[in-house]
Amino acid sequence: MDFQLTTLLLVGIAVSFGLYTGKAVRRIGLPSLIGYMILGTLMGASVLKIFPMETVHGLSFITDIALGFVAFSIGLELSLHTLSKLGKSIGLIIIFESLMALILVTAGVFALTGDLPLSLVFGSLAPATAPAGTIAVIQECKAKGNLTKALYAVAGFDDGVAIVLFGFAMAAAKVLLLSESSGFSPGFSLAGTIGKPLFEIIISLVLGCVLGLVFTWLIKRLRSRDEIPALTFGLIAIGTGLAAQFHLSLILVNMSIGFIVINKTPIGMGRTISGPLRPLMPILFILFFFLAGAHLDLSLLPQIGTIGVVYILARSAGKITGARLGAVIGGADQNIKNYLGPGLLSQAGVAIGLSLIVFQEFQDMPGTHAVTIGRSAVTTIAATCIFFEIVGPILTKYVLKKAGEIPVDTKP
Amino acid sequence: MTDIPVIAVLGISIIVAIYSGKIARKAGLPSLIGYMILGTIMGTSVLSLITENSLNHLQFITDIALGFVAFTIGSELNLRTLRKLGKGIVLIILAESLAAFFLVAFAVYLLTSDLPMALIFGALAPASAPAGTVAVIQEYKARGTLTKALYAVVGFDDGLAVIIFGFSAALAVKLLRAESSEASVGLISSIMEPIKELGFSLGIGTILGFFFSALARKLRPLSELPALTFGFISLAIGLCIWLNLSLILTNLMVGFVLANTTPIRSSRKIVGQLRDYMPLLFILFFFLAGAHLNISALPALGLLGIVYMIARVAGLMGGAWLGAVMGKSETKIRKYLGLGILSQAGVAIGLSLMVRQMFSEIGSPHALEIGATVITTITATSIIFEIIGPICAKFALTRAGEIPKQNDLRV
Repeated sequence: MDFQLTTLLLVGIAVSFGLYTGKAVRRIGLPSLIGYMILGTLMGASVLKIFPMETVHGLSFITDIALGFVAFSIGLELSLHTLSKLGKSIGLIIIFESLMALILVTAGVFALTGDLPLSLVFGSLAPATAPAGTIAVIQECKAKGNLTKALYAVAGFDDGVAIVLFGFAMAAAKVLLLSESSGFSPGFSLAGTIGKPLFEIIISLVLGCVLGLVFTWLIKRLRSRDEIPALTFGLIAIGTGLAAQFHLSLILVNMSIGFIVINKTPIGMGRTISGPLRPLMPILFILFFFLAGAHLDLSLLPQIGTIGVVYILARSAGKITGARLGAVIGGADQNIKNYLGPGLLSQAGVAIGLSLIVFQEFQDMPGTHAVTIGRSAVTTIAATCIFFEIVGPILTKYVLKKAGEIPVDTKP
Repeated sequence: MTDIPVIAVLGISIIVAIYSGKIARKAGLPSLIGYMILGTIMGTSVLSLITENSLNHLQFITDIALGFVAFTIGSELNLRTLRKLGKGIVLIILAESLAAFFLVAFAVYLLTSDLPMALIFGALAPASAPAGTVAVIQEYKARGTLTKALYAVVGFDDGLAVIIFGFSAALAVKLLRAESSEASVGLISSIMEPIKELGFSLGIGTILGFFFSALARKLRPLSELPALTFGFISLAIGLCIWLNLSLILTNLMVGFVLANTTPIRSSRKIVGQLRDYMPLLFILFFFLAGAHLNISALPALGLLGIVYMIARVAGLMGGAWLGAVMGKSETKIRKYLGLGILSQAGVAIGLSLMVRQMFSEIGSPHALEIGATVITTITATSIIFEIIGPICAKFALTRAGEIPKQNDLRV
């Protein structure tokens, strides 16, 4: 009971005060979510401790559900019509920005440390992006246009590529570490390490498609519109719950649901489904970024170290040049060439989750080298995410404005 | 992390509930009966797919839903409507609550000749459960004077119920303590408790309401209104749980102040945006209510439970009729209002838990026995009232002609 009391009170404070810190921040030209995050950080475990860590953990289901809704609304934007208009450039952009981030970070960290397994681990974490920040900015500014569409597509799909690359680079790092310490150990199988992430992606996509087909089947037969929000919520809850339980990609599962729904229902239906989501999204964003802020452990910032700085620089350079390269080869339009890369820098929960996997897997490996790498990955990524989580959305807003995709009349 | 599988189970439940609600509707019952039956099947009584532990974790959903229900009730009650309903409403609330109290106390006393026990059962009788009535009104899109009157009665009678409970529970405690010849606590001080609770609920609700309506009027863009509403309702609920206030009255006041300090059009806009999500909240609320139901408590109903139910129904209906006649309300309010307010659920069970705690502090065998009897009986009667209440409310609204016809076709 004690847990309940403070929690709802704190949630109420978070939402009603968050709304206004968001406004204050918007007045100086930054996206509202920065305000939500600042309030969360102030009230969270790092500063005032009004929001104890226990409560923040108890509310982690809100973060999952919000991310589920974000991914679902990404999927809803990806009609085949839009995708075919964006053309093959999108595929190239996703592959290049992910690969370049991996390559540049690996090279940069290797140049600094001369430690190949360590560099591979950091490289493997670089492609992961955080879609929530990008989507929150797009929705807040009511952005519209080609760059916006491309951002939706890239923010959604690159989660899949990031998981695959993570799997491959991790496998390589493990092979190196194992050969370092007395050759191959019998328990290790290369196929297993690479196969697992592929398997994860395929199952995520399949699950999402199945749920999406069920949803479209149900919604076409639903006579009264009153129940559409309930149906949507139910489905996203299922997708999110199953993804968490079976260690699938929450983003890919829910994105495929939205993707199937938009492409399998009559044209007007998409709006009937996404319309009622609109009033809900600001609440979810406030809670999501408030909690993200409350999670931030500011005392980690000094630990960023030179590796962290190199990681930040190399990852940004990789994303920006990779996206540009893909856009040029794919013949995308000028806005996408110039601005897509800087719009993609957010990195948060997924990367931290992956670094925890590294930590866990490397702890059981022989030799102290692996354990040190695991520890360094967790602390550095936690610190660099603070940076990317703040700078990412700000840059996204900046590029959308530069590309002229923010309507002028949406001032606070 | 333990929440995760619960999310999936909840998602499946919501979707199945939509359809079990449709089945109930096809049988002419309100959808919420379908949600509740599904909850009962999946809950602790039958399949145990939802465990006691996860139900406790999900308590906040019930609280939020109830907060939204109370807020909606308040926002329907602008002073102009209330004035049109006239003093009839006040008389109805007084008469139905007092009549339920007296009839139940009297009947239980006749049956058991145990005065403290009779007082306690009487004290629990006025408590009503607004969610069932409001869910039926919204599902059938009911409109009219009976609908307005129902909103007013199910909302405000929570206040009177708190006071009646406070007074008679205090009296019962005094009787029990005198029995075991213990130094009794001053009656005055224990009577002050419920009055304080009521005062604080109304006061905090009013203050929050003024803040909310001042902020809501100036908020731009409008797309952020739902966030503000959600924030304030969670704030109010959190304060109530923290300070032990009435969740229903506090949130009712927030909505009430809003409706009476902003132009009708903008308060409609605020409430209208919630409407999309009310069906979802009702599904969750009644599904969880069903999952909470402990069917094995039903046999414990006994003669006492049956007497309680009959006397409570007679008291609420008779009292509402009497109040309406004295206040010269319309015929349909006179005839049907009593039928619309029979639901009883969470609040009554909460109060009976409080009785058990209070009485276990007294410690005499008689007090302990009353505490145990009250819990089992009220748990059992609540099952019946939670099912019968909304069905009767729908019946009353239909008979009064306040349910638009085309609604029945859109099954």
